[in-house]
Amino acid sequence: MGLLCALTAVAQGCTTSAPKGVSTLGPQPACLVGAAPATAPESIFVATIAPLDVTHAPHAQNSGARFAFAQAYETLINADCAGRAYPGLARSWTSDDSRTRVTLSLRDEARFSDGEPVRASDVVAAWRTTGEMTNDVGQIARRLADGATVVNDHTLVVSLPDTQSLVLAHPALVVYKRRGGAAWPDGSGPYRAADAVPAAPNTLVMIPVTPHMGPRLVIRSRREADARDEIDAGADLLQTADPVVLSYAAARPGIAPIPTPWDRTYLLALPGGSATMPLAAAGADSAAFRASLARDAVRGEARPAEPPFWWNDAGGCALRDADPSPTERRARIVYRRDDHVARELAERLVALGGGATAAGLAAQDFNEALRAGRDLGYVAQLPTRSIARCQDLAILRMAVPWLAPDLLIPLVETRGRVIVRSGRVAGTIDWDGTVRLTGGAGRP
Amino acid sequence: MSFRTKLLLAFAASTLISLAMLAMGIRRQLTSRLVAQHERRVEALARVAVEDLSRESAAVAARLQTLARSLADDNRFRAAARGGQGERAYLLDWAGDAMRMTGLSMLQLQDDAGRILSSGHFRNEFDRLEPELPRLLAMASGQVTVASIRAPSGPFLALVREDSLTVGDRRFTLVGGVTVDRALLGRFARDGEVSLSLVTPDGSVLADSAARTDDRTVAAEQRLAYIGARSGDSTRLASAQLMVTHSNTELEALRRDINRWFTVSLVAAAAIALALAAWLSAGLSRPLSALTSATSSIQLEGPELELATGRDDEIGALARRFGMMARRLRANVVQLRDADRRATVGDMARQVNHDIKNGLIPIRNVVRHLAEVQERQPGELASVFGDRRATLESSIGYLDTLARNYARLTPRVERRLFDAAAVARDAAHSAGTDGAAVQTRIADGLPPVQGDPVVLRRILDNLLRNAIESLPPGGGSVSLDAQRAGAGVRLIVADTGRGMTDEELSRAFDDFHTTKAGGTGLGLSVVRRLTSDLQADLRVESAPGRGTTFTIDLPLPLPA
Repeated sequence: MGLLCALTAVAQGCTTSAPKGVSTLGPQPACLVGAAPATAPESIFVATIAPLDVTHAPHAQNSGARFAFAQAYETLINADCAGRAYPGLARSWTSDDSRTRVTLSLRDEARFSDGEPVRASDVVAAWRTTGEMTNDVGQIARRLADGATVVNDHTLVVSLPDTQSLVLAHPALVVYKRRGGAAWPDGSGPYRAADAVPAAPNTLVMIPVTPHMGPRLVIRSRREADARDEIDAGADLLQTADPVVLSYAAARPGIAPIPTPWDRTYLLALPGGSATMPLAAAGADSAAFRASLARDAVRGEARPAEPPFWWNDAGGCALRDADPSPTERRARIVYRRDDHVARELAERLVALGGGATAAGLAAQDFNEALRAGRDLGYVAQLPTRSIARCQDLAILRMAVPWLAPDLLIPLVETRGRVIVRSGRVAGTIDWDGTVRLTGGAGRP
Repeated sequence: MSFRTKLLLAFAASTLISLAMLAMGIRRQLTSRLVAQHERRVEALARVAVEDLSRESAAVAARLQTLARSLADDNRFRAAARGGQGERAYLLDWAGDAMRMTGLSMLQLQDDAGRILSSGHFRNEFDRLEPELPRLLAMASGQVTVASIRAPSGPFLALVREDSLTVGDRRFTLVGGVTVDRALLGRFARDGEVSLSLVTPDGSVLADSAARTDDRTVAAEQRLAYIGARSGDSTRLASAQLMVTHSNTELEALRRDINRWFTVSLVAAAAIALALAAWLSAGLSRPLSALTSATSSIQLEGPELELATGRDDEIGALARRFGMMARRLRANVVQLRDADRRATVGDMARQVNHDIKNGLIPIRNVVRHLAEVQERQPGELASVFGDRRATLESSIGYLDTLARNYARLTPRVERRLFDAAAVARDAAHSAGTDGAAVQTRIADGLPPVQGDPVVLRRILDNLLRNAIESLPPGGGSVSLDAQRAGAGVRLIVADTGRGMTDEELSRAFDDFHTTKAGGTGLGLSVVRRLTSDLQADLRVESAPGRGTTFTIDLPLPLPA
């Protein structure tokens, strides 16, 4: 998984310290979407414009898979859109005085989709399995598994890398159990995949683990389709940041666009520092400049990026020094071709002078170009907040060895919206914008 | 060279020469017309391409005019132009939407200060000051103008026009255009026979419709205005040329095609002509060949040959005449053969007569001798009879053998080994009893020869009798020699008689030729035939007054 994909998954971190004492609060009301229908529908149709790649279950590669996996797998705790923790697989937890050791109690009735109860040892085993992965996800899980102690079947003590217990809500730490021959591991969430292989291309059907306890989910990916067509076709849930689609949805009766957290921060990464780009030196990092970008340059919801930025705070993290950046650079500002906000920002920077051109690259090419650092600048996005700051900094350093905080100029923050059809869907928007369905087969 | 080949060559030559002349003439005419047509077509295409460019420029101007009218009526634009922040996003997006709707590649809306308010080809170009472009376009005053336009991914060339509108007391300028690239120029170039290039005065190619090659020639040129040349920090109005070039490659390819097709046609026509010539010459020569073959295989004694007389042309008449001739010849042959058979029977009769006469002569001589003895010396009769008894028996045996041979009608020469020396002694002895001594010289140890001893005896009897009869009365001698000669045995019968002249000698072996009174003229003729039967070699030497010598070389048998 590429750097930015990984960091995109860690979109919003905690703004509060880990709670001391028993915590069993639910999500903030502002993070609830829809209302539980009086009569549960037979099916809920979910549309996504992201590819529906579920081959790496339970670790999502994109937003489409993230939604699907959020219904099938659980982390010990969840974090809502406001960055507050609420129970997940653990019904309660306490922390010691150092707030780096957390004792968690699992739900008594928690079971995997094959009917087996979820034990504390299963949690550690899942983290160890994930820890065998050599990518950034594995790094987080490995560290937590090494510091975990199983007290009994329902009690687990975890040593945190810092005082932020919200790291336990990181998607890398989902609990699952692999079963031989199954395409998807067993999770403890309310849904499971109906078929190992999707019945139709780009369509995934998920059914309640407990039969007849809630609607089935039909998740359909239409990358090339106009999202407005999906609304017209009866989609009950759609996540998008496209202002045209949002404008259309707002005008349709019975459909509510609900904002998700400000979860993306766009930055201008300059391998040679701001001195290499006269524009940047002339005030590209000023609040007024960022405001103008958010107001005029970006189509969609955007606001100026304002400090503090988590990547500037490496305190307490053991990070190796950044490598020196290459000295020879092409006079171009590079962005990911499929990211329209990045393209608009890059074009605005080019329009303001400096002699550079803008170049859109495919995701893989962009990541390689960013790693090499041989261009004048890169318009990239990072999660606005981190719930595992040191880990994310380490990952960032590993992915872009030359990247140092002083080479990043934050530009704007963006967010999308969840379009929900009234009376059909109820759920919670989590800290990373993922909708976790509630009611029916979902969680209470 | 056969008649058929001559016919074929003549036919082919006359056909090919005619075809070649025709083909060359057509090819020359076709090529010259093709070149003229190509040149006219290139000129027309070049004219159309230049007109297309002007038409495209006018179309851009028309679209800008429409947009200007629409914008003047647009209240949201009016609000934005008056500084309303609520419509700022609308203003920023206006040019992009308008550009997509009108099919333009670039569109800018500028205020009277030259500030870009909305940019369609480059949305985030807003607020940039760029007054040069509309100012220079105004200077070009309707001339077809291309300009280098900024874009995020680098500048591009556009065919641009400008228009303006006034809202309140503010004047706004619209600059729009379409991309001038290979696709557009290629569209103007129609079917690709001509190429279009936009070239600056210093030779830099701004755009072209196809990859440039060295073999192109200029068909037309059109002067354009060009905005993009830099002069210090500012852009200036310069000139550029739209060059319409064409390549002779296609024409040359067409020429090659024509030549190739003419060659193919000529070869095909030649092949057909040759085949036709071969067919016709074969039609003429085949019956002649058949007639020739028939004449060479005709057998007057064999079955009658069928000739192709079904044709009603000259060859048919010739075949019929030939058939008639063959039938007449066959009739004549039958008559000749009948005459020959009759002559042969006569010959045989004469030969039988001659042979019997030869066998009876010794018997007659012995009987006369015995009669004389009985008359003169009766007491010696028994003794003389005893002496001559062998001669009688020999002659009787000879006649007996002769009778058996003739009884077989077609006597066959035996092929067996026999003693030629013994036969020579008997013949000399038999001839000597007729009153003339025959001197005999027989070499010892002569090898046996192969053949029929009776035939050799008949040869020697004839030769010895002729020799004795050639002697003058009371004188002369006859000799018979037998000796080894190379691979065979040589017998020499010589006399000292009157001999023969050359003329006599040349006719000596002819049938019925004789120089003796009462002679049959068959003796030497028979000798020649019998010698041939023995596969022996016969030579004769003779001179008048000096006698005659016959030499017979008998071959030895071949080893088994």
